[in-house]
This record gives sequence, structure tokens and C-alpha cells, in this order.
Amino acid sequence: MLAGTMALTVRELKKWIRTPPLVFTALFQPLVWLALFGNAFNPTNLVPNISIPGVNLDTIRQSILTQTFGGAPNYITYLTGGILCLILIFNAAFSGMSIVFDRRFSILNALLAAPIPRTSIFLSRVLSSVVKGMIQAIVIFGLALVIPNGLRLAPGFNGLDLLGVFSVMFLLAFGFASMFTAISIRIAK
Amino acid sequence: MKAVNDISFSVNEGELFGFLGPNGAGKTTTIKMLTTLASITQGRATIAGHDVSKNPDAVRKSIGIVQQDLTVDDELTGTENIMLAASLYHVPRAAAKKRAEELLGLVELKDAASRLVRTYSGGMRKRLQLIVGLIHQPRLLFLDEPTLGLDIQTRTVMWDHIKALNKEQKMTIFMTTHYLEEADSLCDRIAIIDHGKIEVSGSPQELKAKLGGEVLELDVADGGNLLGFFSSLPGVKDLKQKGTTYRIKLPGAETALPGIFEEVSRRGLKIGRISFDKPSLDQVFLEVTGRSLRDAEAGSEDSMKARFTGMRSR
Repeated sequence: MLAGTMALTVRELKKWIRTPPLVFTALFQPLVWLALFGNAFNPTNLVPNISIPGVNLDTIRQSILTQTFGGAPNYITYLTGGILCLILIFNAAFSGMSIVFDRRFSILNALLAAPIPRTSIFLSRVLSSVVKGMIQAIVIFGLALVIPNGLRLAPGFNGLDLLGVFSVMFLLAFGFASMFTAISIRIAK
Repeated sequence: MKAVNDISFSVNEGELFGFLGPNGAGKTTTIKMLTTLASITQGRATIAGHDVSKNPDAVRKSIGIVQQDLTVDDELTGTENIMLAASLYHVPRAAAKKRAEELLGLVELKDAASRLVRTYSGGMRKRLQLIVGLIHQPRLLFLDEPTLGLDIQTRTVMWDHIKALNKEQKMTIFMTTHYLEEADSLCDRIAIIDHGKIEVSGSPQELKAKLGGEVLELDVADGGNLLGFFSSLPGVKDLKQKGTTYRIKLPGAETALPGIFEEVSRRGLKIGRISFDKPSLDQVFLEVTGRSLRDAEAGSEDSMKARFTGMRSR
């Protein structure tokens, strides 16, 4: 079970890495969201940059964040969580595509006739999608941390918290990839 | 709608068995059943001692499959394709590497082994596909139309490979083909299936012999009267005379011809024209399956596949 799953997962990932445009868009798109939407949709920008005597505009900006965004220290911090989830779900949506193509090229028949558990064919698509999604998520998480006025972690955020964040992302990726792969099996029929 | 119906046959160890039939006769479904891709609803099939329905995994381990479509992966190199198959068939890495080298040498793909398959020609892909199916040294190899869409040079090379596998490596091979001259020159034994039944089976020579021998046509100047002589030849059939032309069906005509020439010249007659038709497997096939075309239902998937296969074999 493991050997077959591994071999097929590696195959998927090799094919992905060998198509640079795919890797590029996978990373570029979330970056655009982060940079573009992070600026354009930032509601604290609605507060004008002027000085009114006796009014502290920064307090207003801060209270907008507190009221609407659950006390996030800035808009990007609020947005990053959402973007990470979107990356994982979007990525998972394509997880089953390779099954559709394998069926069209009869490669799937060759796999079905091989002495491996058929679960490993399914699992390989899910796992390769999870790996792709997690790579994107890690890169975007890192970028969000380094951009100016970017993601700010809560005080006392430690390694265990980080593990928690990535475990949730893993489960999300795994769940959605399984769901979409299952759907794609039906599509191909 | 009947996908195969009532067939029974056996393939002996070490044999090169040809499975022929018109489109829609049930060939592909039979292969699918034997390779565990379709379930057998009634009856039983045993491969290498394992029941196909009850022990599919053991069957999968003992067979190799080379499908009609090009199933090698474009985005992987030749070696990677082989090694992928090796892991799917549980061949240890070291052994697989050695065998891959050997097989690549066999089909003369050593130089291209580290190139992406995308850059291969149709013939190279087919050769690669052949050895991908061999990495685990299967006891029985299924070849589904191994030379479909290949040019005559590549086809001849494929024949040599298939022959070598069968004769030198003692591999039992089950193949289907639409090229009857291919079946004739390669197969030890063939079976023709139609409407879900095995119509005939036997060696190509036996089947051709059943047609009743070569057809001989002689134009003899000013006719003469040779009817009596011809009917005295052993085994002669369907003797006909039309004007100055005689038409006979004669088994072993090759050895009878000199005698005919002698007799004709002894009578002072002259042969103006002679034609000699050896019975071909084509004739056997048409006799058994009739001449009507089969419009088997093909799903949209099949037409899609046909398009892709065409595209990919360029």
C-alpha cells in the first residue's frame, strides 16, 4: 500500500515541478491576493490621513479593526488566515484532475491492473495535492510575515501554536482534496 | 447489448496466442476480464493457476499488460516510467535498475532513456510501453494491438521484439491484432472470436489449410481439353473452365505445378498466363466472420481516446 502510494505521489509531484508555469501561478496568485487585496480592501484606509485637532484618527483605525476584525493588529493579519484557507481549497479543487486525464489516456487502466491496492491510486492524488497546497501555504505564510505592515503574530505565539496552525491547514487540505478527488472519479465516468 | 457471451479457450505455457475478431466482437472485453479490469459475471478464468475473480491480486502480479493506447507518461523520462512500473509491481529497486538497463537495450532505447517521453516518436513510445509491461517478468503478457498506427519499419522491429520475447525469454504472449499478416507470421495459434463466440481456433497453417488449398488460374492458348487431367490431380477441388481459362483449387499446388507444366507441354499446348493465390488468413477471417461491417456502439470516451491516441502517436 505504502510503496504504491509513494511511487504515485512522487509521480504527481514530479510532473508538477516539471511544469514551471503551474508552480509559478500556484505561488503568484495568492501573493497577488495578499498584496493587492491586502491594500485595496483595507478598511482602515477609509480613514483619511489628515489631522483633526482633538481627534485621534489612529484610535478610530484601531477600533475599526477591533470591531470588525476580531481585534487583529492590522488588516493583513486578518486577511492572511483567509488567504491560506483559500489557497488550500483552490488547490484541492484540482486534485482530481490528474485522474480524469489518466483515464482519458488509459493510464488509469494500467494502474488498476497493477497489483497495488486501488486506494493507493486515490490516496496518491490526495497526498500530492496536500503537499502542493502546504508548500504554497508555507511560502505565503512566510511572505506575509516579511512584507511591511504584514502578518503580526500574537504575543506569546510559540512553536506549539505554529504546529496547531499547520495541523489545521493540513486537515483542511486533506479533507477538501479527498472530497474533490472523489468527485472527479465520478466526473470521469 | 451483450459484452461477450460464451467463450472457452486455453493458452499453453510458452505459446504466442493470437486473439482475433472484428471490431465489437468482444476482444477488448475479454482482455478486460482476463486482466481483472472487468468482472466475470458467469464462468471462470484461470491465469497461471490463479482464479481471476477470486484472486485478482495474484493474477495481476503474474501478468503484464501492453494496452492499445499509449499509456507511458509524457512528463516522465523513459527510465522513470519503467521505475514507476517497478514500484507498482513490487520489484526491488536494484533488481529493477538492472532489468531496466537490459530491457532498454533490448528495444534500443538506451540513448533516449533519460529524455522525457514527450520528446519520443510514436514508435519509441510503443517500444517503451512494451518493456514497461515486462519489468516484473510476468508469466503471461497481454499485447492489445501492439503495432496499431505504427509505420512498417517500426512494425517489423516490434515483431522482432515480440518474437524474441516469446522464443528467447520463453514468455507466454496473448495478443490481439487487426493485421492478419501479423498474426500469421507471429502466432503459434490463433482464435477468431465473433458475436461473443470462438468461431475457429488453431495454428494459422491449419486454418489456411481448411480453406482447401491454393487457387490456381491458367490461361491455356486455344484451350485444349485439360479438364480430365486436372480432375485426376490429388485433392483437387472446384474445377472450372471458362473459355480458355481453367480455375482450380489445389492443396499443395507448389509441388504440383511442375507436373502441370510438363503435361501441358507434352500435349503441345502453351500457357499464356498463370496466377497463383495462396490462401491467406484474411480469407479465413472473412469466411468465418462474414463481410458485413460492425457498427459497434462506441462511447464518447472511445472516440476521445481514439483522438488522443492519434495525437500522441505522431
